[in-house]
Amino acid sequence: MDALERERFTRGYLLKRVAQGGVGISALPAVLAACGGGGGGVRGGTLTVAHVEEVGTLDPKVWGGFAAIYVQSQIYDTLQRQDPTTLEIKPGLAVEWENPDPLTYRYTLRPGVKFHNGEPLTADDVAFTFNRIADPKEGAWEQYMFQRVEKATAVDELTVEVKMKEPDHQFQFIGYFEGGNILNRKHVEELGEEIGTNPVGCGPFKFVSRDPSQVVLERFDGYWEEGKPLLGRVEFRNIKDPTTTISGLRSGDIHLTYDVPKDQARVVEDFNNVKVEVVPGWEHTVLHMANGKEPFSDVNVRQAIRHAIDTNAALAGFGEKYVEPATGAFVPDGVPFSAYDETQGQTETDLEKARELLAQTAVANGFKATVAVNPGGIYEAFALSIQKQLQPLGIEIEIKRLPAPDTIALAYSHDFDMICMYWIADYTDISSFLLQWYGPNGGEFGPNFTEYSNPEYDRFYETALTTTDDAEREDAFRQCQLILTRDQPSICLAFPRTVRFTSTKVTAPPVPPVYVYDSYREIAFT
Amino acid sequence: MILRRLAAFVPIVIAVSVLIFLALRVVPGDPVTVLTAGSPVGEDVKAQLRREFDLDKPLVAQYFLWAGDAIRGDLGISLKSRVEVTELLGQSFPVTLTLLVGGLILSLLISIPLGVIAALRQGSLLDQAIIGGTLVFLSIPIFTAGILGILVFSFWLDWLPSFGRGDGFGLDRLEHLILPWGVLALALTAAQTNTLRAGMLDVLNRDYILAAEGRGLRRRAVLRHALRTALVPVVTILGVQFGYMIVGTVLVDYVFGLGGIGQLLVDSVNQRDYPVIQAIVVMIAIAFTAATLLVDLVCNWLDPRYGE
Repeated sequence: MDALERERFTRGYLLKRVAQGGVGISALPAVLAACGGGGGGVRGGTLTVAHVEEVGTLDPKVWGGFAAIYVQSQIYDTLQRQDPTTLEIKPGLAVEWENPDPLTYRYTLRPGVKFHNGEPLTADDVAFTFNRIADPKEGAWEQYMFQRVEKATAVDELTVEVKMKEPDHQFQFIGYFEGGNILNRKHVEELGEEIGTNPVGCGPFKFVSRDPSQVVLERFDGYWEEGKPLLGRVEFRNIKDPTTTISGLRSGDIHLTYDVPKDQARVVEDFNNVKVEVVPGWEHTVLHMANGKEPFSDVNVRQAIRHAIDTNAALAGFGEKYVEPATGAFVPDGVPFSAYDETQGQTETDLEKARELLAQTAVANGFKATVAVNPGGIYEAFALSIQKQLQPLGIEIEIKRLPAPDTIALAYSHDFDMICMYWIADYTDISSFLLQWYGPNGGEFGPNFTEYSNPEYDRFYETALTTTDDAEREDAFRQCQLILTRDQPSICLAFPRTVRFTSTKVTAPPVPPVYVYDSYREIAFT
Repeated sequence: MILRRLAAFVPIVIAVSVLIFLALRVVPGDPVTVLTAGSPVGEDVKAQLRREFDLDKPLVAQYFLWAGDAIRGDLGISLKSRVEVTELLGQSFPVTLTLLVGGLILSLLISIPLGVIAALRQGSLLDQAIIGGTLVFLSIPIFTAGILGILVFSFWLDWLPSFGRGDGFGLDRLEHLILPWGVLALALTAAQTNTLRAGMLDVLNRDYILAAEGRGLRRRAVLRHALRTALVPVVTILGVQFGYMIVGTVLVDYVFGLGGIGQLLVDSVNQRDYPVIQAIVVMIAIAFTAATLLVDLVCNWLDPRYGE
């Protein structure tokens, strides 16, 4: 009997006894508390993971939401892995790789790897997976990572080669990115679109069942990594209300979650059965402005807004432990090529300066604008704070609360004044932070949601993505960030940290940089 | 009467389906952006997705394609999870039904004795306490009651689990559902208790009851007769409450993560999952119409003069 079953049994048993008058109700909490813990180094057990979002499709090419990525990261495996602390790239399904010239990537696969359906992993599976994403007809959400891919081919049974049309800085990240989850060709050809509801990968856990309240996985005994995974089963529970999640953590019914709102995280710190791990997040919260239209096209207006905003005040309810206010930097510290050290602290809250700047514009007496925001949490706190902080400038803000997909849709339509939203990096590189929002309009350099137009920025950005010279790339990315801090096409407000809540009954390796890819293969009950 | 109601059934369902279909497409938000997560995909990729889900066709064509399939029992697939909508409904509908029926039974178990006692002790302290108490529960929004329930019974006392619907049909299931049922039931008891109390007071003063009492019929038998008539308005109230209960189950589902229609609806609305939202709304319209029909049938059975 695993740890969780034992606990349920105990509580059910106790409830029955209470009903029979066997145990006094007043004594129950103390008795229950005594029932926790016990044992050590358990192989097996059911890990219950709480997530707030619905689990979408489990076909990696379709965006199924963050919760779907939590699940996919257990079912599928990638060619490479990234060390959570050093960011060093380590072997995964590929044991070796090389980049002999800027247009060629070659991966040598690990022999003896099996898919959940018993099929062996071959180079053909990898080539098929990559070509499937690269083909625009497939409508894959991560196709942007494959825009410069010419073709992936299986050189032999265990060697796959990817030929590029032109050099692409982004492609290297596909090795350990969710979009690079390797599929079994035979399975996809047999099931087609239905692999989203009946997924087969070569990851540590295989799919068992799903319904709107949960997704269930179980250990894949044929997993290639010796002795792993340790857990017998993983249940992903869709829980919307934070009180329910917090209560579940306290009672021990939930063993792992990332989805406790940052302003409520402190409550959980007091639980002696929950470990709260706070690590730097690959995420930023940003107020984007429509640079393509009046009055935001005027750099003085944007700078005036920046100087009027006090990010520290807006985040007062959250605590710096969980959210770091941004004061000039656009990209969190620790991200490769981040110019955090040079840019953080470069913008200050100065209402007088804001007034002076606005006085030089066509809207010297202020204007009306809307801020679209996802309800709740940091975003709404910021929107409310910005509404108040811009009042002295005569800027009247109307807050539009919208679900997350709608804010993205607004960004695409360019039909907004300001949007306050988060961005979590898809992969551990600075380009993932900049890609969507700025740069040349449309096409391969992203949709430029803000319609920011600055040929100097565009030139540096293009260089950064296509150069084969690392020093040149570093400088180009640095210049991009200096320009963003100067021009403020968007205002970076905060860097939320990643917070993982785990039961003290389980041991878990460090949180990976992009937390949504957290794999449970090494998690075990103590 | 029943035939007349059945005849009205079809146009109501068609009207609701047209309304929800249009309403979804009038509000801003594009499912294609949801499907691509705002990643910088090209126009060709988006066009492909639009074709795949018939979003490139004119609205009228989209409606008839959907309605035609729906009549044949094919409600399409969820844009988000790619699971067939009929399968999603098959998984979540029983949960909601269990929640509704359990909440309803529990509310009647509470309100019938309370209503009768309040009527028999009219004006007493107990009567006032019952009316006051049920009104307090009515005034607490279901959402708040759910969170309070979790705080008290899961967080502080740790007696009951805070989420999920449990396994099997035994104690585990009961342990998981008693709190959601209770929250739903408490919200319903006020109207039921007060209606029953008023009904009982009215009936107890009728001539036939006074005559029965005068002939020395035992109190218990008299009450049984009175209760049967007094229940008619309670059942009518249940019909009215059905709509409220649907909203209630959505909220209870949301708070307790039960995986019923409510949770599915909230997720689908947030994700602009057109096929799922359409199916759920039409199903709710059907259920609501069917429930009012059922109420009429039960009332007829309780009091054959009903509807005359």
